[in-house]
Amino acid sequence: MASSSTSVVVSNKEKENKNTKKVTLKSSDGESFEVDESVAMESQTIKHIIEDGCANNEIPLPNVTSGILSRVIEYCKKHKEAAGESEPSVTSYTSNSTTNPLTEWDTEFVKVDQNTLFDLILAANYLDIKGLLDLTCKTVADMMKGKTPQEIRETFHIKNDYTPEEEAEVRKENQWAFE
Amino acid sequence: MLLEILYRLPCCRRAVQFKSVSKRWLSVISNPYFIRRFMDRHRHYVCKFTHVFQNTIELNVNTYIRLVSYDHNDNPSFKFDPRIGLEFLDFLPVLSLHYPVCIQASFNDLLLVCTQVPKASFFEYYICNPFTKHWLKLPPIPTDGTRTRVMIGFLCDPCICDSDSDNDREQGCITNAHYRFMVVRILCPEENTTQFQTQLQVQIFSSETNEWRNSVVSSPRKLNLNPFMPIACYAGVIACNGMLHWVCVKDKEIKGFVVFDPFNDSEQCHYIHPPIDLSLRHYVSLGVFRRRLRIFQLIYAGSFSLWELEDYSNAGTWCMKQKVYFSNMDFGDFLQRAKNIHGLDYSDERTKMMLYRDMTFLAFHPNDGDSVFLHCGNSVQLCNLRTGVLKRVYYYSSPVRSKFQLVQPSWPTPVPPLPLNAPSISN
Repeated sequence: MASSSTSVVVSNKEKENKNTKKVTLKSSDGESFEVDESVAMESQTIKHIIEDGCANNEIPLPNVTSGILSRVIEYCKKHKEAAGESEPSVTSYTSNSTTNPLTEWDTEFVKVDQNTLFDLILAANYLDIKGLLDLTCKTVADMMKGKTPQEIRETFHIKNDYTPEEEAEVRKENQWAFE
Repeated sequence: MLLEILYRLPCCRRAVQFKSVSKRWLSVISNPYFIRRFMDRHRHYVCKFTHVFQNTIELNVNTYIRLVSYDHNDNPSFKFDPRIGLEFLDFLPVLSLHYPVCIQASFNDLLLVCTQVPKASFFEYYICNPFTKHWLKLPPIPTDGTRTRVMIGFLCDPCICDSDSDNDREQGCITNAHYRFMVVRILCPEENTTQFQTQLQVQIFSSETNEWRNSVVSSPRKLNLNPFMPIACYAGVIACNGMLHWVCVKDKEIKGFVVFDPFNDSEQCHYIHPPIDLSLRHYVSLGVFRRRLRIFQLIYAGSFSLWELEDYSNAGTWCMKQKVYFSNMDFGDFLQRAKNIHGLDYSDERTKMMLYRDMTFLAFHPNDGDSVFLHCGNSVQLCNLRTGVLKRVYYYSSPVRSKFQLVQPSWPTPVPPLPLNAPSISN
C-alpha cells in the first residue's frame, strides 16, 4: 500500500490526474467512506492528520456516526466543487447570500431535525470545517432569535435551574433587554 | 458549542434576554470572551445613536434634557416629553432627591453625571449607561468653593485581553467588556479666563486606583494650556484614544492642539500642529469619528472643512477629508421653508447667508464619515460634506447649553467594567 507521502497543496496537476488520491474515513459505527483527498481536506482536522503523515489512507473518526459523516461528506463535496480551482483553505466561507451561490443548497441542507442539526454542529466543530460550523450555528441562532427564553427552553429541552427569585433577579438586572 | 451559536445572534438584546434561560446560559453570555466574539462578529454594526441636549453647563436644580434617537435611516424619534426630561436618568438614585445635577461628559453609550448634595462640600460623580440603567458612583470629591468653573474629560481606555488562547482572528478585536477609565477635572485658572497659562491644575480620578488626586500639568514647550480661552472653550475638551485634546491658543490664533495622556503621564502634555490649511483665526470644533480625532471648521460665507488626524507622531499628521464651498451647497427645501416661516423676501444667496450665520457644529455622524450634524437656528440639519446637501432633520426650540452624542456599540458597555480575570467558559 502506498504511503501517503502527499504534498501539502493539492496541485492542479494532481487534479488533472484521473487517479486522484483518495482517503477512507471510518465512522464511529464502523462504516467506511472513500472520498477524494481534496474533499476530505475541507476538514482542517483531517488535513492535519494527512499532512502529519499519520493517515495510512484510513482515518478513524470516533466522534462521528455514519449518518452524520455521510452528510458532512456531502457538504464538503458540494462546497469543494463550487470552490473550483482554489485550495480548500482559502475558500471564503461567507454566509452572505448575495455572494454565495450555494445559499439555496445550504438552506435545504440544514432542513433536518434538531438532533441531526446539533450532531452536525458537533461534527463540524470536531472536524474543524468553518463553513459548515458557521452554517449550522447560524441556522440555530436564527431559530432562536424570535423566541422568548421560555420558548427557548421548550424548543431545546433545557431545564430551568433558576429558582423563581433567581430568575427574577436576572430579569431585573437586565430589564432593559426585556422591554 | 453554545457560545458558537449565541454569538451569531443578530442583536444583543435577545442574547441578554437568554441569560434567563438557565444558569449555564447566564455564565456563557456574561463571559467577557463571549462578548468579545459577539462584538467581533458584529464589527460592521451600524450603531444606533442619540443626541442629548441639556439646558445647562453647570449644576442646576432645573436641569432638563431632551433626547433625539436615530434609527438606521437617520430618522429621528423623540422618546421623552422635553418638559419632563430627566426620566432618561431616573434610575440614578439622586434624581429622585431633586439635587442639582448636570451631565458633564459622554463616551460611547456612557454618561458622566455630576451632582452635589445641597450644602455639602463635595461633588458626586456617576458613570452610567442609560440604556442598561447600570451605574457606578465615584468617591466624592471636595469642592474648594471658589473655583466652580471646570472642563471635564471622561476617558475610557479598553484593556486588551490576551489571556485567552485565541486564533489570529480575535487579536486586536474590539471589546468594551474590560476598560479602565479616568475622569479629569480641569480647573479654571483664575477669574480671568483669557490668560496665558503654562500650567494647569487638574483633579483626576482613576479606576485603577479608585481615588481622586490632584496634579499640575505643564508643557515642555511652554505652551498656553488654558482651555477656557474663547476659541478653546468653544471647541471644548475632547476624549479620543484614551487622551484629551483641546485647542492651544495664542494671541487669538490657533497655535495647535494640546494632547493630555494621563494614563501614561499625568504631569506633562504633548502638542500637535494644526493642519496646514486650517484657518487659524476662525473657530473650530473637535470631535471623534471611529476613534479618530477630527476637526470641523465652518467659515462664514466661505466653506465647511473637515480634517482627520492620521498619526500623532511628528507633531501630528492631518488629512483633509472634505471641503465644500458655501456656494456649492444644496440647502434643499430648507431655504424655501425658512423664507416661508420668516417671511423673507431675499434672494436665495442672501437668505443662505443669513441661515449660515446661525450654524454651529453639533456632532460627526457616527456611521457616515462624510456627514455632520449642524444646529441652524431652530433646526438640526444633517450636512453631507461630500455632496454638499443639507437635510433638515428636525425642529426644536428649547435652549441648549450643552450637547452629547451617545453611540451604542453592538454590545452595551458594562458599568462597572468586567473584571479581567473572569472564569473560563466550558462549551
